[in-house]
Amino acid sequence: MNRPIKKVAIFCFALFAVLFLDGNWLQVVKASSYSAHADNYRNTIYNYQVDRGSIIVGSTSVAASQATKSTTMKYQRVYSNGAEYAPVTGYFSSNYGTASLEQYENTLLNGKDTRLATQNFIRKAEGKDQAGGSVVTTINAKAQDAAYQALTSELSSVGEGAVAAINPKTGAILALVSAPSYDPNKLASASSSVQNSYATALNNNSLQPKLDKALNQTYPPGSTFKIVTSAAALTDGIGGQSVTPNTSIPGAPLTTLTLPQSTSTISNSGGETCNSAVLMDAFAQSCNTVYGYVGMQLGASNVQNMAQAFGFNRTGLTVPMTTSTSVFPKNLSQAQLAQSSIGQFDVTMTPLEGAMMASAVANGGTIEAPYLIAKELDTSGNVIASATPTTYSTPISGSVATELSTMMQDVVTNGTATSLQNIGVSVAAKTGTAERGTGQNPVAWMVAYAPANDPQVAVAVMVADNNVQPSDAFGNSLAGPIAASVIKAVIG
Amino acid sequence: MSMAASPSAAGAVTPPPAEPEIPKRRNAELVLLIGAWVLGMFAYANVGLASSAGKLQSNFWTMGVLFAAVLLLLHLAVRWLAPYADPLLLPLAAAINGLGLVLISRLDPYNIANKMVPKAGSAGQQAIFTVIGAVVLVAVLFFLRDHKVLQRYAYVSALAGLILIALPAVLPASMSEVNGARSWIKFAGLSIQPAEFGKLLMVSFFAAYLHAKRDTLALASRKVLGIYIPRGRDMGPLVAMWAFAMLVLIRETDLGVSLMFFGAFVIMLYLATERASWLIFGLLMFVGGAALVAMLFAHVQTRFDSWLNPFGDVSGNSRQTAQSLYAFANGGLFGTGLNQGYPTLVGFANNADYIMDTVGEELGLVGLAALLIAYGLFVARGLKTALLVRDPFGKLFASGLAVVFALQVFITAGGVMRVIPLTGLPMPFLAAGGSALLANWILVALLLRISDAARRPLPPALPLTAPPNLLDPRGVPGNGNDGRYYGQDKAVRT
Repeated sequence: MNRPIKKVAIFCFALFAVLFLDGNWLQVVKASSYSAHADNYRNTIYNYQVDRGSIIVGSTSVAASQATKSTTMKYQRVYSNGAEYAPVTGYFSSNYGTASLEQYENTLLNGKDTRLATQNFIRKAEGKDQAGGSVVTTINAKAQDAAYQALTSELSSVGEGAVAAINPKTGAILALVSAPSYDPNKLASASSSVQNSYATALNNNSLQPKLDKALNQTYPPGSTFKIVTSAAALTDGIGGQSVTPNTSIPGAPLTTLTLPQSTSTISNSGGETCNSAVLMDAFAQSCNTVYGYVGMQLGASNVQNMAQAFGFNRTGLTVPMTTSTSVFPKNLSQAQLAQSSIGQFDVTMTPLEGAMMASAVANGGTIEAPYLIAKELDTSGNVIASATPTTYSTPISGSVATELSTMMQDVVTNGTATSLQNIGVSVAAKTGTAERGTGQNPVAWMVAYAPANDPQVAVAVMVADNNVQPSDAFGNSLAGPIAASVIKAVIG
Repeated sequence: MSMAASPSAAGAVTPPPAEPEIPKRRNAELVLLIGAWVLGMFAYANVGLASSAGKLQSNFWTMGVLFAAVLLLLHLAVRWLAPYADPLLLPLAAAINGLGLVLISRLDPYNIANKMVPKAGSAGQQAIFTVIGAVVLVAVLFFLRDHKVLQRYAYVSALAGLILIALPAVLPASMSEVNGARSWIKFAGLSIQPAEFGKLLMVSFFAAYLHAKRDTLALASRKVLGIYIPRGRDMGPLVAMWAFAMLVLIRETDLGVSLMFFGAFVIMLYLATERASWLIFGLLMFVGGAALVAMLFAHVQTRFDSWLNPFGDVSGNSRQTAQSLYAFANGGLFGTGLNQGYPTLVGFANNADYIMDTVGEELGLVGLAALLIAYGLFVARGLKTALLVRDPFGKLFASGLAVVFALQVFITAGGVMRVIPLTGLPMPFLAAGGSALLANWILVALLLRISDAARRPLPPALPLTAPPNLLDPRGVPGNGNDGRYYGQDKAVRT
């Protein structure tokens, strides 16, 4: 009977081998994917046992962990200037998860990043709590303060707005503001009921305070889109003729543009008649009839290609937060093209895209990819990674950029952006006042950069507020002063 | 067999060579037992130091002395009652039992706080049953001096075993159901898992029965396509066991018990007959039957569903399966360290069916592998005993015990680790449960008894000096025969 006993012994060995291999499968191969499951409560427990890293602006922490006396929740997340920095930091909540940098830099902040493995192994051996690394942002505290204060002091209770400012030479994001905002401290509260009631209130608010409107909401760009239409005209020419800022567009109407195969028309703001069909003048005066006509003369593909070179319809921009995609519609009729060329119809963009448009002009035609993280630090504060600017796209040539720069400066000196005059620095800008549905005030825009000769900041300000007088709801009057504050904060 | 081979004339026979001295290895066993004690106490100290108090448990040294006393008792009893027994069986069982006590005490604070165990915790209970188990082991060794005696009680064992296994199925659910599986007998505040005793009785019966019937079962068969097909009437026992296993599966919702018994029976059938066809028939019948039952009965199907799709219903049916996998994943290679993981998140039965979660999470893959090796070595020593023991009943009995033990480990750990659908068996020696612990110590006693018989030297052989014609009926002096019987001569038979 020994022969079959030996075979059974091999069988038993195989049973144990299967268990051993399965142990390898669960504990090595699948370990990280199982550990990441949302219903794995270990993550929640771990998150409150770890000395989570800070989110730093300049040399100040805007999000930091404070030790508590509790054994289960050893650290409490604290946000200074929570509402102002909410679009940057996001929140870290036991019931509602994470957002923004708290979400996108979670593995660094919570110490699970492999680059921190050695340090945390030593900490474990020393009996210390696990710790996370920190994130140093590109935010300029003065610019952020100026933008947040200017925006929130101006907005009514039903208004929303956003500011995005970037350094056109590097793409570093200098200010990122969304209003109305929220207090991340309440979502990170140790009290579950505080979290729940606050989250319910936020979700019931139709202005969506948790939404970062600078990155994740798109609005009609209105006349600010004329930067793109101008870029297309200066690059591609019209009817085989090259176009310069001083070219008078032949055949462009100055009062009313009738649209082919359509009963609707395009007129100018306040029904005015434009001074001339010279491109630069039409730009400074934000002349819709000329630009609608220019768009139709360029053709849908030229305008669309230029818009896409500026970043419209291009998905996947991360800063590291994933941003919403700005849209320039396709398959346009001539009538739709005319409206799209002045930033109406179905054209939408994020405030960040507005700042990128300005930075293309400011930076000799090249858009540097916007980024929010300057440095990543390990648990003892040593730099483990630094940002290196990368080119996002080059929509226009250097000469076209120079021409556009001249035109945008003219907007301030001779045109619609009067609110940016006399602020101690020469500014290049474009206003926008985009119509929305009936009964709603327009979206007011200001897209600008400064100083005009050596650009250090490109900024886009968006304000949509139904509680102001319609006669005041213009880009220059609503968004302009905010842009001026941001520019002064950066330059001054 | 030539003349030249015989050195001398008839009558002057050289004495047979002396039996080689068989070492008893009792001192090796003692050293290993000390190792088991050190391992257990080291783990217990780990739990204490990693607790929020950060120091050794108040009963640390009391438990240490008690554990040492139990091990010493076992060792002395084996020295006295089974001196030739295998030296690895006892230390392996002791080490796993010690680790089990540590793990149960580690899980107790959570389980007490959540009212899953009595207020005093279950570690104390388990310690008491460890002592009882040791005493029972000594008693078995004392009263059962020859394992072959058990052959006589084959049918009594069978009856008792069947009743024990089937009892929870006929008892009302209030007396038999724990967490959906009806494999318990609960009365007067005690919970007994009768299958644990049933497995010993049934293996004993299988061994005796198959020993008696092996020739019939092996020889009376036809060969079709290289496979021996048994006669219809010889299929009877297999079909009966299969029907029994299916009934257990349906009535007790317990794939584990069902698979363990049926698997052990089929493997022992193969051992007795050396016919691989039994394995094929057995496997086909079980898989087919289980699949059919799973399709027909919703409560069995639920378990299959959470096996196939553990993350499908993480707040409902598959919650424990998912939590179990998370525990293993969190342990990784080296584990979190004892008392530093979260194996209690699996919830109910964290110190019983799911105790492997704690091993995987807090001791890591390294600890898991070490534990599997300990179990594997135990099974290997059982099978080695089966190889060495001389009587066929002993061979069947020892290998049956080893196989049923191996299957239980595989089914339990495999269920928790999602190799097979989850079942309701306790991990031998590790899981909280007095009746299971007691039954497993009896299993050790039986293996010690058989291995003592296996390794004990035979009494001196009778010298073959009787007259040749007495030994060899054909023996005719002067017929070229040297006076020794060399077995049947083919030439004579023809």
